[in-house]
Amino acid sequence: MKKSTIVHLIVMVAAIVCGSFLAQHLYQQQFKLAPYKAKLSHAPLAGFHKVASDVEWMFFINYLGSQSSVNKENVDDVTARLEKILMLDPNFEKAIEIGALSLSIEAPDAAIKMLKEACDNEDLKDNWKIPLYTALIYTYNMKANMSEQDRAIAAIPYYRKAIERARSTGVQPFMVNSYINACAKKEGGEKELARLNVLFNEWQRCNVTTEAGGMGGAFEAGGVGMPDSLITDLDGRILEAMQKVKINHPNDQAIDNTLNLIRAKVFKDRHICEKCCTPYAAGDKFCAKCGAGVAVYGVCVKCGEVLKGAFCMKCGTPAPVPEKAKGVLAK
Amino acid sequence: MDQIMAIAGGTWRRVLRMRVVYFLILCVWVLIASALNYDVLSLQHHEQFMIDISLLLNTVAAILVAISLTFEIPRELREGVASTLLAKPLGRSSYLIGKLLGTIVIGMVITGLIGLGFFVIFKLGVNKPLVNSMILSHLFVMASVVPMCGIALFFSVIMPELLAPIATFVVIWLASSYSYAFSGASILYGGILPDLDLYNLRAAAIYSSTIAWEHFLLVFLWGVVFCCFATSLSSLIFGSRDLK
Repeated sequence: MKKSTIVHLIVMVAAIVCGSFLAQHLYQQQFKLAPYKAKLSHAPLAGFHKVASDVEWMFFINYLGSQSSVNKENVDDVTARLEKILMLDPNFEKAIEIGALSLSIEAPDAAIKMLKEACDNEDLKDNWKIPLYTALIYTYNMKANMSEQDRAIAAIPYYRKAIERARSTGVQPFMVNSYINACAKKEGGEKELARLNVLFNEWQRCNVTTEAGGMGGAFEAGGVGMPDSLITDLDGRILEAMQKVKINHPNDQAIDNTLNLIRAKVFKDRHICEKCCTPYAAGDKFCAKCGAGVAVYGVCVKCGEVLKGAFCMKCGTPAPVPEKAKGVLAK
Repeated sequence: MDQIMAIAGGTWRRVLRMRVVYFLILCVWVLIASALNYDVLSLQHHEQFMIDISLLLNTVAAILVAISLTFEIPRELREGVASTLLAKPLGRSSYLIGKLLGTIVIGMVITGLIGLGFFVIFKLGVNKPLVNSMILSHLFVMASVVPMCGIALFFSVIMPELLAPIATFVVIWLASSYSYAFSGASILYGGILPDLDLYNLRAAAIYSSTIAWEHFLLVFLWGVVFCCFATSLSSLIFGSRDLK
């Protein structure tokens, strides 16, 4: 055998071994860099799946434009076209969002199936619209298939997911409202009372009171925007819910007991009318909303002037030290 | 080495002096830029469409450059040009390596120009910063020229002028589409059978996924290793072939 032939054979064998080893390593590596590749269609497109999905998308838009609406006659065609687009590109967010909305009335099951797959897609974990659309379709479009309570139960995890994902960009108020309403429907019973229970349970879940009470830590009751809560402005919403419940049940002793409990826990540092649950200001003797007598606070013990600082502006009497501060100062 | 560089230099100078090459590159740039007009038809998906189109056209250009090798070598063999060259003290392996290198340089220049043109058009048309993954995905296309030229070289020495380009195209297409079917077969996969899907991270450019430079370098290395295998095999076959 010639020397050149031996050299060629050695080079070939070495290249085969190295090439095979490298290719095996890179094959595994690429699924870490591009997880969507595992879900791609096996159509022989030489890797041009993304371009094919773009072209299919434009055909789809053209097709939708030629239809007056998505109805029973064309819903299967629309679904098939969307599935094709997503087989070629599972991360095509616009197709998922617009496609799901176009199917939400005629084929909500198909829309939810598509959205659920997208919710589980790691590459789309920052998209809050997809779980929100899932939740909204469950809430409003699945009436024929599920009871109201079942729809709410199905929608709740997706509302939560949408709110968690939207935190970095800003949570829309309607998302939080929809989430609370769904939780209230899950509770059952009268709507406003259920909302109040949901909000109070959320407050209890998120709140941690210190042993010493007093100034407490960052998670004390009444704190706005407790870090663990999905519901923004929880205190304000609890207060609003208490007011509505009181309007609906003005003479219900059991509900009054519940409201007193909430007032004692959530608003222990605030002053709220016992009759209508409206906050009142320092120096007020009667509630501005319902006229009921309220416990006066924040006035000078000598002349009754409203205190605005450490001393009374009228007579100079020092303002009383709050109970909490006494404990801290004593230490 | 001088002989190899002389052959390579002759190859790339001859092609890169042709005005039609630059005219075709200009046409590709126009097609890429025209994708910006698809904003209404694509519901504001035109940016992504433009990136996709640029990668598609760049890959097609790379494939065409590789296929040009399958016309070059059989033609020179048919016309007797190769025989004349090989009558001089020029090894057959040197001839093949020179042709291969020359074609790789042509491919990298053309795909590089297309990529550069895309970056300029993107910056001017979309007015957004270029993302690392966009640059890397074009570099992947440039790097894919190496194994493709290796495949083309192999078919150009075993098949006549008509069949070699078709076989090259088919193998490139299959290697880009069906590599997953052989991924479990060690030695065969990546060693003998190429996996051109390793160069396909086109969607990553759209979604601005993070692609490590180390991954690119390893893929490029694999391409070089595979090309060495294909060249060595081609050289072994060419060496035993009667040129008359």
